[in-house]
Formats: sequence, structure tokens, C-alpha cells
Amino acid sequence: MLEKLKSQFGDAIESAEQIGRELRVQIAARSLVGAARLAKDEGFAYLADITAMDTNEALRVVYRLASLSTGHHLVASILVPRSGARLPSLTPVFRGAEWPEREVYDMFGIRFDGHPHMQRILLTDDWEGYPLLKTWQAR
Amino acid sequence: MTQALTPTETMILNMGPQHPSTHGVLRLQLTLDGEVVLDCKPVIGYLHRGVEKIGEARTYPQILPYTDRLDYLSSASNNLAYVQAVEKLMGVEVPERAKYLRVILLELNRIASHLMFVATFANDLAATTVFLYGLREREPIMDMFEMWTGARLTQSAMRVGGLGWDIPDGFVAKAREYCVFLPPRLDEYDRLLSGNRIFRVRTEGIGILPPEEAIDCGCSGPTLRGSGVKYDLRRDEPYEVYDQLDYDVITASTCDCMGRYVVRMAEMRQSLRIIEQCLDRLPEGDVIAKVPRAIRPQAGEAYGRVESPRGDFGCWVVSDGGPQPARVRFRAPSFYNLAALPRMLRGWKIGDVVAILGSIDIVLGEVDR
Amino acid sequence: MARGGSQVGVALPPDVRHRGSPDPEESLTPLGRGAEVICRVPGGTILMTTVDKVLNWGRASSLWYLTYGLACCAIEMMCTAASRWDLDRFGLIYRGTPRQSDLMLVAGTVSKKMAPVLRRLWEQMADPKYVIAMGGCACEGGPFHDSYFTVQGVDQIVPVDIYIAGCPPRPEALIDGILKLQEKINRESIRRAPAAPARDA
Repeated sequence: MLEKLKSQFGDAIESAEQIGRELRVQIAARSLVGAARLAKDEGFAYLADITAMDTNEALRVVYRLASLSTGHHLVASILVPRSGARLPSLTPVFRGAEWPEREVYDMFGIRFDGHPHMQRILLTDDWEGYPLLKTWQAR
Repeated sequence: MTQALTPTETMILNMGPQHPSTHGVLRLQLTLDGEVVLDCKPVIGYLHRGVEKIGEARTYPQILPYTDRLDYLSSASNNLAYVQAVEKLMGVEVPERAKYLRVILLELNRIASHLMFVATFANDLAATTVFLYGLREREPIMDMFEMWTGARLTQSAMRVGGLGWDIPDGFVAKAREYCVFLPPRLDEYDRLLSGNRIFRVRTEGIGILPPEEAIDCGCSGPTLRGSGVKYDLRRDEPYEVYDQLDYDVITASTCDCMGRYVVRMAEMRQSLRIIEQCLDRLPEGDVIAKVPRAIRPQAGEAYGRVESPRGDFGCWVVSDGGPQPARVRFRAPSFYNLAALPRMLRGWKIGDVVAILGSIDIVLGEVDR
Repeated sequence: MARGGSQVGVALPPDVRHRGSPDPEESLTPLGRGAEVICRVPGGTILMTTVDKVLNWGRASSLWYLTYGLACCAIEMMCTAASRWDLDRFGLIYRGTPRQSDLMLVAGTVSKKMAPVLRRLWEQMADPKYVIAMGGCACEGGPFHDSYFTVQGVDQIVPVDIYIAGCPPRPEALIDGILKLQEKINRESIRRAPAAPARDA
């Protein structure tokens, strides 16, 4: 799988390692949708999760795809700046990306271009701030 | 004599968040044309408690009780996903006895959860008797949990490295008794429900979820298996001792509410099989490995994945070497199953909304976290 | 307002007898708990009691509850209402609408998104109404006391009559709380009726 990714997106892959059944790659944002389509064609058709974390220096958005037949996982991370970040939405590739992307926006403030309903999902619509950022302070 | 058609408008009907049949605090904004549902917009977040943020302010053992309260109908599976992730980070090897006991606890939770599903699903379709029967059958399991862990519902039984307590005397006898007690009751439910004409009309052919859509939406568990996709984490990514046990993965090819109901009914019987095998093979030994008193996993990340009664429950733990995690993320199956709901509701009538929503068996605690 | 507790006479059909009582003069069916007989009209089956006692008896014995089952406590509430512990024998019947409920059983964590909904439903209930906060989360926030999105106790939104601790409380604890609420109701009086709570602007 890594070879296939490298052949098409070689320059966008910043790092890769295989740990057990997980192939962890770090890629650039511009090749996200293409890599997702390639992965889905190669059998990673199950979107397990889209989430993010605040590493204090940047925000790391993590996409986890699973293969129903082999049990392997593809974990792709993308680093984005801590404010004003925008990423392409995966909703054209995976229908199930709609809600987790809204949650990432709700919690971290990362906007996804091309998302059909880019709005908060868990918090109230008038909520200010993005709670899962490390710098977020409860009033 | 013909009558001119009266012009009509669509109506938006609000269902919830306080509603007896939404299985929690879920709000559905239904766009209706008469009785037919044109669109549905689920609004969630009414039970958002900020567990992931709280997790960053607690030590690893302190996070464990919070995991119980996510999918509160089957606490052990949440516990296990979290504990698995931490064990992977620390490289802890769980003793054999603990693995078998964990499987027993998981399968008892599965039966309790599916009994609650049958009870509430039938109650939503106005078969109130089965509600009382289902909860009556669930009580012996609650007694067993209480005997073992002290708590009926939110057991917090798992620990990093094994379990918190060994089973007490009399537990094995009680569990074996239950394995004999339940099957005739399940047959009774089959007689009451599965063959009942009204139940069948309200569930057969209702709420179709094609398998490709189910996979694309990230659905898992009986919602996915009710659409014919044979994917069960116990078989496809085995953990604990599931690869050594003999059981069937049940699927239904009808993709409707009845299919999802049938899958859960059959899974209860398979769970009893698994419990009996575990009781037969239960080895002696410790129930917890030697773990340091202060849990400080090395820096890194790990993902624990468990087949909960609702589907694929995952827990992602990122450690920075300190006593508190840098990030704890819970991947809830009901979150993804619920996202598929609008697709399943379009074109059906209001009366079917309750049946379809009940058949995917969500728990808002894990949807909202 | 009546002074001194107005008296009311209640006529019962002649064949109603208190079980186990040998004396026909004594054999009168009591009006359940809390309704003492004040005066017995000799020769018949009429007894006199106070308005307070009859009203309280009626309210306490037939508390229809609006389950506000939010989280894990809701499951224990359902278990309490079901086969083994049966809330119906105390007169409690589940109602889905606040218009027909007397008691709001807040079971579970109240989030800030849910709080306005809870307040609105409480206002839709007709007086006299009571609130039981079931579980740690409803009492004072529970394990989520430092969360950014939870209300630390439902008494910040509605007045609470009974607090039941536990996470989740056992069904017996819930029944204990309900019995205490019934005792509380039996101590009420129409002379000291609480003023209607101020409506928020």
C-alpha cells in the first residue's frame, strides 16, 4: 500500500512507518483527497475515524481508514496551523466524513472546504471558541 | 366527480430532544409532506459532556470511569477499548485468566445491551409486554455484575493489565444457570414478536440501508451486519481470546429493521455459547499483570478497537510520557450509525421513524461524549 | 384560605370495611397514609378529615412522572419502572408529556444545550409540580463537575425537592427518594402554599 501511495503522491508524503497492522503516514494537505480515493480503491473502504489533536505547535488532523478484508489500518496525519486552517473535505469520497469533519470544526476550528453543512454539531450554535485547543480556557 | 388537489406545504416537525422514543436526548427535525418524511436533520450534542477535554486533565486510571459513561448500556466494551490502547503503549501482557474473564464480562454486557434493545424496540412499537420481559431477563445479569464488581450498570471493571477483581465464589454457577435460563425466554420473544403480524409489517422492508452505503457511512455492528456485510471485529481483528473460541457471525441480507433485529436476537444466543466456552476453559492464575502503580506510558500513540454491541468502538490514546494523556479520543459507533439515519428515513412515514431509529440502537452518551 | 384546616366529610358505601378490624364501629377504610380520621359519624361510614390530608394523599399517591432520562441514570430509572422494582405500585406512571405530569425525574447530566429545554418543559408542567434530581450529575455535576458544557446541578435551573445521590443510584435508592418525596408532600398545606415561582424575563 505504501508503495502505491508513494508512486502517485511521493512528493507529498512527509513520513511513513508501519507499526503492526497500522500504516502511519504524514502527508501534505493538497494530496488528501487523491490519496483517500486511491486508498478506497485499494480496499481501505471503511472510514473508521476523522479526528484531530493539538500538539501545541500545530494541529494534527488524523484520518483512519480500515480495510474490511485484511484488517489493516491506514492512518494519515496532516499538520495544519493552529488558527484559520482549511482542509479539503472528504465528503465526496466518503459519505461518512460529514459528521466527523463537523466535529473537528466544532472542537478545533478547522474548516473543510466543500463540506455540505459546515456548522457546529455538538456545541450550541452560538458557542464561541474551540474547546479542544490546548489554549482554550473555560470562563 | 373529481376534486381539485388541495395545494399543500411541507411541514417541519420537531421530535425531541425530550421524547420517549428517541433513546436519549436526540432531536430530529423532520421535514414532512403529510405523513411522508422528506428529510431528517438529526441535532445532537444535548448530552455533550466534554469527556475528551476532561480526559486531558485526568490521570490514566481516573479516565476509566468516564469510559463507562459513554456507551452506558455496555460499559465493559468502552473500558476495554481504552485499556487496550494504554496496554499497547506500555507493552503490558494480560494474563490468560484475565482475558477469559474479560470476554465473559464483554459478552454479558452484550446480552444485557441487546436485551435492552429488544425491550425498548418492542416498547416503541407498542409491545409493552416485551419491555417488561426484557428488563426482567436483564436483572440476573445486573445481579452478576453487582456480585463481581459492586456496580450494576457502570462497572469500571477493567484495569490496565487485567481486571480489578477476580470473580467471587458462586459466580460460575450463576453464569451457567443463566446460560440455561435465557434461551427459552428468547424463544418466547420469538413467539411474541418475530412471528407477530403487526411487528412484521412494521419492520419488514422498512428503513432499507444498502450495504455499500452502510460501509461508506462508517456503520458497524448489527447495523452493518443487518445489511449483509459480514464484518465483526471479534473475527476480523481478534482481541483477547476471541480467536480461540467457536461462534458464528450473524448477518441478515434484508437490510431492513427486521434484519437488524434478527441479528441482535441471534447474537445473544452466540454470546451464551461464548460464555459457556469461556467458563469451561477458564484457567487459574492472576487477573492482573504486574503494572507500575503510577501509569505513565511512554510517549507515542495507540488505538484500541472493540466490537461493542453497537459496533466498532475505538479509543485513540496519545501519550507524551506524563501521567495524563495528551489526547484521548473515543470513536463511537453510534455517531456513525446515526449519521446514516437521514438516508434510511427518506420516503417512509412518521410511524416508521420510531421503528427505524430504534433499530439502529444508538446510545447518546457515546454519540455526544 | 380556610383557617384551622377546614373539615370535609366523606361518605363511603356501607360494604366497605377495614380489613382485620373486628368492631363494626371501628371498621372504616382509612384514606390511605396520612389521612387520619378526625371524627367519625356514629353508625355510618362517614369520616371527617382535613382538606390538606385528602389533597396530599391524592397528590402523593398518584405522582405521574415525566422522565427526563438523559444519560446512564435513565437506564436505572427504566429498571426501577420495570418488572423487578415496579414504580407503578407507588402510583407512578410514566408520561411522555409535561402537560400530564406532576413530577420531573431528572436522571442524568444536564448539558448547557439541554438546559433551556429542561426549563421550558418544567414551565409547561402544571402546579403542583415536584422535581427529583437523580444521580450525581443532576445533583451537583457528578463526575463532570469541571466540564465546560455541563450544568453543575439541575437546581441551577429549576427548584429541586429531592436529591438522590449515586452514580447511578440503585433502584432502591430511587424508590427511597420517591417515598421521601411522598412524605414531603404529606407535610404540605394549602395554607402555606408556596408562591408561584417568578418567571424569568
